[in-house]
Amino acid sequence: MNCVVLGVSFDSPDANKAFRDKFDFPYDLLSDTGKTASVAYGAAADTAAKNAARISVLIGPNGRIAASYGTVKPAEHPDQVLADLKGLG
Amino acid sequence: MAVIDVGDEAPGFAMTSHAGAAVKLDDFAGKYVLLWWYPKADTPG
Repeated sequence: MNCVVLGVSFDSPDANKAFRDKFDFPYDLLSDTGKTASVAYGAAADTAAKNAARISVLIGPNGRIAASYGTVKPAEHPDQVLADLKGLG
Repeated sequence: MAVIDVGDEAPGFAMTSHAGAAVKLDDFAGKYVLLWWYPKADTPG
């Protein structure tokens, strides 16, 4: 399945590296220290937000939002996304 | 605060990865990209 997975938070690259190493995540973690992407996608109300909301967004190959998920439950979320990807073909 | 709507054009972004690399949306043209936000590094579930 041709899907890139990227984590995003306001943390520094160093903090994300430590987080990734600790849990051995296979995907890249991105620093949105300026918070502009988080605001644009709806993970933060504005750039004064202290933390990002736990949302996720699936972008399609055509560059449009294919699915979005507010306040995900981490334990159930991967299955939900996989089911959606299969549905999208 | 509302999560972006399905069907909207994905806003372009350029961010720095944990490895210090520049990563932008344009890098993944033609692929599905799942962006997931988390409140803070090293916080549980």
